[in-house]
Amino acid sequence: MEFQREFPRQFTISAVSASPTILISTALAAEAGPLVRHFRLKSVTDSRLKCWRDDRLCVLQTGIGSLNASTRLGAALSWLCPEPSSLSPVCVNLGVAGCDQPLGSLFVASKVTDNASTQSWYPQLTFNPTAPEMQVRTLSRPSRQYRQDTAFDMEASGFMNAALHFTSLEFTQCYKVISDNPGSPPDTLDESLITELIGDNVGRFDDELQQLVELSDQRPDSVGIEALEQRLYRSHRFSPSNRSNLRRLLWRHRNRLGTLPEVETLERLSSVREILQLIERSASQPGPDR
Amino acid sequence: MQTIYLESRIAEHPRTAEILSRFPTSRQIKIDRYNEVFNPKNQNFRLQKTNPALILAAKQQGHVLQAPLEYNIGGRNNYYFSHMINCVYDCRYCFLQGMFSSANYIIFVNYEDFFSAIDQTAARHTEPAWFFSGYDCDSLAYEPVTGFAAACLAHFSQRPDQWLELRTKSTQIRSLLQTEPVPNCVVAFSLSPDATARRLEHGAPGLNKRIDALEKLQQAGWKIGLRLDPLIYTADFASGYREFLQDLFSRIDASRLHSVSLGTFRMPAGFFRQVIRLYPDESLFTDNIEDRPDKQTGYPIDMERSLMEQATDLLLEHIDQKQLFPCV
Repeated sequence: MEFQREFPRQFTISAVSASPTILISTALAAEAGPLVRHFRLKSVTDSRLKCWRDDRLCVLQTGIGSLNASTRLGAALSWLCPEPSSLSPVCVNLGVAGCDQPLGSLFVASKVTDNASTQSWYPQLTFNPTAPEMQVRTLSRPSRQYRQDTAFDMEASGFMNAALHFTSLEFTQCYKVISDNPGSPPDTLDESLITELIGDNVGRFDDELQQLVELSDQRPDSVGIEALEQRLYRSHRFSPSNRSNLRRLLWRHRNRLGTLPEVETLERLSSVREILQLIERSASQPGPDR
Repeated sequence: MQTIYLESRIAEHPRTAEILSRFPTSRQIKIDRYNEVFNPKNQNFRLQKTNPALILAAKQQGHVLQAPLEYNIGGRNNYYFSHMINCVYDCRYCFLQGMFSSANYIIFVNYEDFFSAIDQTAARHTEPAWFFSGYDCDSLAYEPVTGFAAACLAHFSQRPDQWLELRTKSTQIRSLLQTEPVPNCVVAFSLSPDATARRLEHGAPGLNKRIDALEKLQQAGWKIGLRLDPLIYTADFASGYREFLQDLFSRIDASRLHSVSLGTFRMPAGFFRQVIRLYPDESLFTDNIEDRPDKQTGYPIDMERSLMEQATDLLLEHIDQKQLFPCV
C-alpha cells in the first residue's frame, strides 16, 4: 500500500493545482531521466510503477513495448484521475524511434498505427505544435527498416490505446526523437546516447507542453460542479436526462449566484426530483448581478 | 488553416489541388477515410473550434437526404445536401456542436456526385423538388475556398424544376452578384437582433453587413429569404425584435421577399447533453430550458408559443401570411 500513500486518492486534478495534470509516458529510464532533471521531479517509490512527480506533472516509465505502455499508463491514470472529469489530463508519450531522418530530430505524431492490428489514431494537433509532424508505426520488436515519412517505435499505439480512455485526442500526443537511422543502426544505440538525444530536445519539448497547457486552460473550470455531481451520484440514482438537468441547474446556480448549493443538504433529500427542485429554487433567488 | 487531412483517393482531384494551393504552409496529413479523423468520440468540439483542421474527402453515399418535416418553405418534396460539414462561424446555439464530436471542417470535393444525386432525386417527382444546402454548414461562408455555390448555381440554372436554397450568414456574395440571378434559387439569410447576434453568433458578419448583402442581392434581382431561427429569448424580446424588423424592412422590399421562416431555440435532447458538457458556463443552456416530451430540449412549451406568437405578430406588420413558414 506504499503506492497509495504516495498517490493518495486526493491526488486528482482538482487537488493538485488549478493547472491540469500532465502525464508524460516514457519507456526507458534513459528517456525519463532528462525529463526528471529538467522538471525537478521527485521519485515515487512503488514496486509496481516507476514514476516521478510534482504537483503539476508526472513522468512515468512503462518499460519497453506497447503492452507495457498500455497497462502501466492505464494503471497510473486510474490513480491520477479516479473520477471522470471534463478537465481530463494532458497525456504525452516521449520516446526514441527509428526513421530515415537526422539523429536527434524531434517529431510530433500526426498518425499512430499499430503494426499488428493496423488500428490507427490521429492525435488532434489543435494546439499547433512547432515540431514537424511524422506518422508513427508501432512494432512489436526492434527493426532495421527505415522510411523518411514514418518513424518506427514500440510504444505509441499502446500509449494511445490507454490514454484515450482518460482524455481526448487534443490532449493525447506522441513525440519521437530519432535515435537510429540507416547511418546509425540500433546496435550503436546505448543508454547514454538516448539520454543525450532526449536531453537535447527537452527544452523544446517543454515549450510544446506549454502550448498544450494553454489549450487545456481554455476549458471551463467545472471541478467544483463535477465533484458535487459525483457525490450526488453516489447517494442517488440519476437517469441520463436527470444528470443533464442536474448539470444545467448547478451551472445556473453558479452563473447566477457565484456559489453552489450545500452538498450535505442535497444528499439528505430522498429523491432526485427533490434535489433538482431545491437547486432550481435556490438558483432563482436574487443574487449578485453577474 | 494549419492542418489539412486529405483522403488518398482524392489527393489527385483537381479541386483538391485548387483548395490546397490556398494553404501553402499547412501541414498535410494523408488519411484513408475522413471518418477516421472526424468520427472518434473522444474529441473536444469546443477546443477544436479554436483551431479547426480541414478535411478534404469524397462523399461516397447519402449525397442527398430527406429534409426534416418542418424544414420547408412551401415545397412538398424537400431534401438537403452538404458539400461541407461544420461551419466557419461559432454560433453558440448551433446544433452542429451537439451533433458532431469534431469541429474540423470537411469539404467533399466530388461536387458532381452531389449534382447527379440531385438529378436522380428530382426525377422521382412530378412536382418541383427543393434542395437545401445550408443544413450542416453555411452555404456561402467558405465560397472563396470551395467555389461550391458557383458550381451549384451552374447546375440549378439549367434545371427549373429543381429549387435551391442557399442558407447563410455570410457576406460572400460576390460570385452571385457577378452572375444573372437564378430564378429557382433562394438566398436565405439567418438573422437575429443585433444584441443577440453580437452575444451568440461568434465570428459571423454583423447584422448590418448581412442586411447590406440582402439589399444588394435583392436589388440585383435574386430571390431572398429570411430565416429567424432560432428566436432567442431576452427580457426585451418584443421590443428588440420590433426594432430589428423595422430596420430590416426599411431596407429591403418585403413584397418581393420569397419567404420568412422562424422557430425558437431547440435541439434534440441528445445533442443538448453534448452541448452543455462543452459550454456549461453559457446561460443560453442553463436558463429557461427544459427537456420536452417531443425529445427536444428547448424553451418550455408555453414560452415557445409566446415567443412564436410575438414574432409572428411583429412579422405580419411587414409581410403577408403566405410568405411565412413557422418551423414547429
